[in-house]
Amino acid sequence: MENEFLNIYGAKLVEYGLAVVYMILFVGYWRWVQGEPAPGTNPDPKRAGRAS
Amino acid sequence: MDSTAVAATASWQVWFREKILLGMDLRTYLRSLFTPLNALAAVLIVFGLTVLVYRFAAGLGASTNLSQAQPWGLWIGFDMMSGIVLAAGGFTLGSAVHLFGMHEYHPIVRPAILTAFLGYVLAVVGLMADLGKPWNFYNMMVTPGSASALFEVACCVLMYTTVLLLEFLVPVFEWLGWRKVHERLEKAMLALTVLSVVFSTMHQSALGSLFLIAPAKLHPLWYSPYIFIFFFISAICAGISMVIVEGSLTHRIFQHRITGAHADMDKLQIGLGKAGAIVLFAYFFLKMQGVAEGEHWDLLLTGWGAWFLVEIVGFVLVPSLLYGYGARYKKVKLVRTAAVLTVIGIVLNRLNVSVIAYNFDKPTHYVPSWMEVSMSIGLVTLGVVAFRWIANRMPIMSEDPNFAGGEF
Repeated sequence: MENEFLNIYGAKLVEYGLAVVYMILFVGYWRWVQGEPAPGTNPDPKRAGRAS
Repeated sequence: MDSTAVAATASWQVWFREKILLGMDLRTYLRSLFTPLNALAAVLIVFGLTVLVYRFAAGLGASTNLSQAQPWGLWIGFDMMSGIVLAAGGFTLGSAVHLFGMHEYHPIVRPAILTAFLGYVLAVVGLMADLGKPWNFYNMMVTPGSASALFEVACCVLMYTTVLLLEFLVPVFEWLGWRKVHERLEKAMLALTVLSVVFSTMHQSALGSLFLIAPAKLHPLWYSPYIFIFFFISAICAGISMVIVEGSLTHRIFQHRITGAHADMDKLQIGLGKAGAIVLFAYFFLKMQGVAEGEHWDLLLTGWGAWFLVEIVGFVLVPSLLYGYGARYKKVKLVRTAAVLTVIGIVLNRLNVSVIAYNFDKPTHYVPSWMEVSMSIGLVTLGVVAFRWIANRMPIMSEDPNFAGGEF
């Protein structure tokens, strides 16, 4: 038998799952944005040193 | 006339010629104004102001397509909501420089504050046009509705515009050469910056809180109990992006007004791009949380869902990734492209919330009248012309060397 009042847990599960995925991706994205590309991997090496 | 009076008149004439007429005599100055772009701007401004006068003479019913069912239109969605959010660069950059000590961004603070000040003034003009009886506005201070989100917006906008005026007066006093009052105002600037952050945080989010009373009118994909958080975070995104867009344009157009060493705009914009990437990334997931909280995933497969995805993928996630890629690989053009996309996206969001997705299920939908559109265009043009007039005369692009050394 389906209990209507338990449905909210499904929504909460998605919310918490989304938050965990976000935090994992955020840490990686933060490090990627803040980091310097490895030597030789800059797609436009002419401008590589200009803003550093 | 005695010799003192003659000397005073001559000195006033010299001041007027140097400070207002840019060193030209009146005839040459007036002749210099006759350019195609100035003519176009004059037509747009005169047309917009004529509509404004007509609105007060004939009323809202005659000049707009607003109705009892749709009381908010373009003047609220664009002039007010978008004008306020795009002016967020003032408090975003001001707090970064003066509160968080990121002094490398100091050269672009003044243009950001001027943009914010003009944005708020024009938003207030748009709001006045939209109010049924604007002359009664003082009542909000006499009988404050302290439990009302609208009161919070009105009160904070009023106070923040005053703070922006005071911040803008620093370059004005440099321009006028009023050293004593300039020094006093500079001493108060840290307190003003703190106030600007407080008022901005309050009213940028409160603009979203206005929609908390309309859960049935706003489309579920845009409505969320967290809408005030969305409004605040998106204001930071818009502030960062507007500083990049406006800095790219003004640094090129007003290059002749920069005294001393030129700031490395590419480096500053790449730094702002890093911030933009992170904040937009967070904003994207917050919007996803809004969908998850309301369990509206099925709505993403509808026409409104497609439009929602255009907004949050095309104008939030894509600019975030462009910002990130551009900042990491020092591609400043990508950062500027991301800034333009973000500005468009945030304006689209405000229009979606207050106009397009509002009353989404009504049989007839609001479309702004030509008079509403022309007044909005006229106000934006007036803002651009005012910015140019001020930046060409006052020390906006860089400090007056005679006043150098101050923090602000």
